[in-house]
Amino acid sequence: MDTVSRRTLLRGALSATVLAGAGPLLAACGTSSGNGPAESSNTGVLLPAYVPLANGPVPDLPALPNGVLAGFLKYPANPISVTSGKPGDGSTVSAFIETFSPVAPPLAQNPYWQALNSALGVNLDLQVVPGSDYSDKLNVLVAGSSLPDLTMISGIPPNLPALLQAEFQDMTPFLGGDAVKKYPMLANIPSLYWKTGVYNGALYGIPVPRTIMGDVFYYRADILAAKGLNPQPASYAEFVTLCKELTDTRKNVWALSNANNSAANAGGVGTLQFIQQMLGVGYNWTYSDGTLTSTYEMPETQEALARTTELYKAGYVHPDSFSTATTSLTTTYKQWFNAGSAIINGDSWTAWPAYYTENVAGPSFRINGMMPPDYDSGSKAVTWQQNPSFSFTAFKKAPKSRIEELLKVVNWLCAPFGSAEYLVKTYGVEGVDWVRKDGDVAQTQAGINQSGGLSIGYVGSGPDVIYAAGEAQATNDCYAFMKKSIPASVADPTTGLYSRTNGEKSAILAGIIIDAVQAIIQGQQPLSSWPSTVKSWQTSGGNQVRSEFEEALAKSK
Amino acid sequence: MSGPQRRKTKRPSTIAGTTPPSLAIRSVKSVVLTVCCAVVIIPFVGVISTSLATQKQVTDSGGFVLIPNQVSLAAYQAILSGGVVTRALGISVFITVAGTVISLACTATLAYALSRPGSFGHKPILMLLLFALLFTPGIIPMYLVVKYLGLLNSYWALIIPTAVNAFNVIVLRAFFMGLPPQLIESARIDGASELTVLRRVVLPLSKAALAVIGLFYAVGYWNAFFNALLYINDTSKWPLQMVIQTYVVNNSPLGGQPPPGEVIPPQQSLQMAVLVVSVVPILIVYPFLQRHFGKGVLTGAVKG
Repeated sequence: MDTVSRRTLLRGALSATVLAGAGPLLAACGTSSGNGPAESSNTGVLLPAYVPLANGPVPDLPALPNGVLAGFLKYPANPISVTSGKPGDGSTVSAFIETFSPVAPPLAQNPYWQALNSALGVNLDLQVVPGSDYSDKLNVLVAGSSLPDLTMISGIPPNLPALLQAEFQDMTPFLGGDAVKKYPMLANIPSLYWKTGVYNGALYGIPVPRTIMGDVFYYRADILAAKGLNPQPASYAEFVTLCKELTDTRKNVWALSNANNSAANAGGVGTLQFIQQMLGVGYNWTYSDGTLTSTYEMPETQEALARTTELYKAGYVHPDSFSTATTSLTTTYKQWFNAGSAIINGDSWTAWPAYYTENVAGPSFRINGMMPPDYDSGSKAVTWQQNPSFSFTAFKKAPKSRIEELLKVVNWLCAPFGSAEYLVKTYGVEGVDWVRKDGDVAQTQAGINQSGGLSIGYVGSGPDVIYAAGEAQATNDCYAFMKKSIPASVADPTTGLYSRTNGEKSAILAGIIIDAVQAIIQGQQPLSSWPSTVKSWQTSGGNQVRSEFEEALAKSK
Repeated sequence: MSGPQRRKTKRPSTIAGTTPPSLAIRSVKSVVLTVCCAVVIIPFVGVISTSLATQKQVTDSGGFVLIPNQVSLAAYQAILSGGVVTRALGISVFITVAGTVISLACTATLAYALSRPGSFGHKPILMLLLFALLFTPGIIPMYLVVKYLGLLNSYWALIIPTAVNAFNVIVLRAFFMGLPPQLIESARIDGASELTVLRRVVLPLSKAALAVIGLFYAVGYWNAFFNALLYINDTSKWPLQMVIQTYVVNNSPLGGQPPPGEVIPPQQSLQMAVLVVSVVPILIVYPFLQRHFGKGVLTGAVKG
């Protein structure tokens, strides 16, 4: 039984206050902006060199330099091994990760976990928490000095730079520049993704790469084809006509699943966001001449809000979209979309294969993405880029030899899609967790139970790919859409930058906007109230967020 | 010779001196009560039906099925086959039973001691208890205490920190103070110690109150999940509510086609099946406690 010493109690309390926002307590010197420890400029950080893996799995659809991901129509029949030997030294490797899947069986009843330990040569001790409880658990782990070897940093916890500096290892000496070549799978991750883990002028973690392509405005391609309708309107007017032709309330069919995706502030795309894209509105912020302008402050957003309200009043939006609990939004919209009750629905690009799994329309089911058309002849439509990395994995401060051992393990986990290592990491044991079906991998229920809850991919993952098991058509469609979307996309200029106020108040600020948007669309408030909503957003923290991001942008140039 | 018999209409019983309700009023009351019952029962029926529905029906009905066209047990097979839910159920039962027994023992003894004026440390302990009613420790101080007591990853972390509820102690203390002091004095005169008085005089008279307090504790232990999140890192030791949360709150989409001969149940069916499994134990136990609950819920409400 550990005894409570004053030193340990104080240390835990100090780390907790870092997370709680009292950053200056740990500051050697603080800036007047109150961002905690002085943030060194993040320009000039030596990012790991990018060395594409030679002799790795060859995709059916090649990755492109502009960010389009590689695509695989099937999992390779004879996956090659890209590493040699077991990376681990038989020790226990602990990791804290969040999961979006049900709990996995314990090690003794989990062949997938056992196979993973065997392949890695370590004993994985995984502390898994539901995504919704991630922040609470991270708080106590920091306060109780109970951080594991590896920690998934998801989102932007409050005072993240100070937390990283106090508790986690600066990885620049281990991975910066050519140092990463000791770990070929890590070197296979392009430089773009590494920026996610750069704080305080140093590199603090290994990214979990995704893609820069944002959410997709899906449509039921099979239904539009059956009706002989053009799925790609050329203007907002044609989009309205399409919505009118798709809506048939007598048959409980509406064109649009929702007017505003409340998850929009996390990158979701609803009707409002789609019209903003038609009008060429940037994602979250627009940066020009050293000044940031919020999306909310742009006149085009008010115009998009007016158009969305008209579509809602015209009856083209599913009538239950506003009565759905926020926690069930995505699932409910999916249900309507799969059932054909809503023909157009915005969702993440990773949901593409899931729609095929859950569809009930049979073999004719097909979906695709709709590009935002130019609103009119005077507009230039854009799509939105998302943060290229989902999260990054930080290493608890430890001796050099221990860090290197952990890096070998994470290097194995970052083996690319199509390799033998990836097959074990993601799917598990053949015959138990997955089987071959029509030449492709089909995961069993046991496999889903055993692997999903462990979410080991959040500890280490190689570059993402487009792959829908058993649905080659979906892979081809997604690849083709990505090739259209990415060249037309614009990035949030604040991606990868840190604002303390944004970390603390983003939920409150988003709530101000979401409440007003929903009230205006439903006619509970007039459109003329929008400027006062924006004013409220500004004074409640929006202006502070702006100035902090502008400061960070100036330092990054 | 008697005249024709007038058939007697049975009138609803009424309180003497009041007018019995008319047929119209009784009809309105019946409709209102039926609606209220339906509001309670229909969601419950929907949960069970959705857990037994197929993917097609779940999708066509928008995620909530009232009457399944075709019964599928795939969701129950999925959640019970891995052993996670059954294990979590066993853990929840153990923690609930053990926790309730420990909590009742601690609460009853503390409440009895505080109900006897002049007992050692009476006032300071009572003040401490009242202080605990007003102020609760934060997450981090509690975590630090649990950690340094060596209880992390232990089932005791789910019992000991919440073993004594100050409010329950106050309620039970008030009940004990309402017992006739003559009973306790006569037991003392007969040579009974305080523990004997508690065990053989006070507790037998307090069955209803103890049943209610016990039920409060039991429901609290059964529903608790946040302590498990904070103190238990090993997911194999998580109670049922934590496991339910990972099913219900998380909505990770399934990808890919299932293997031949295997049906992957829809996400909503999995969630509802877990909810059904979690409710069944409470439904089994509650009828046995209901009569005590009815009497005990008025504990302290009526004096004299």
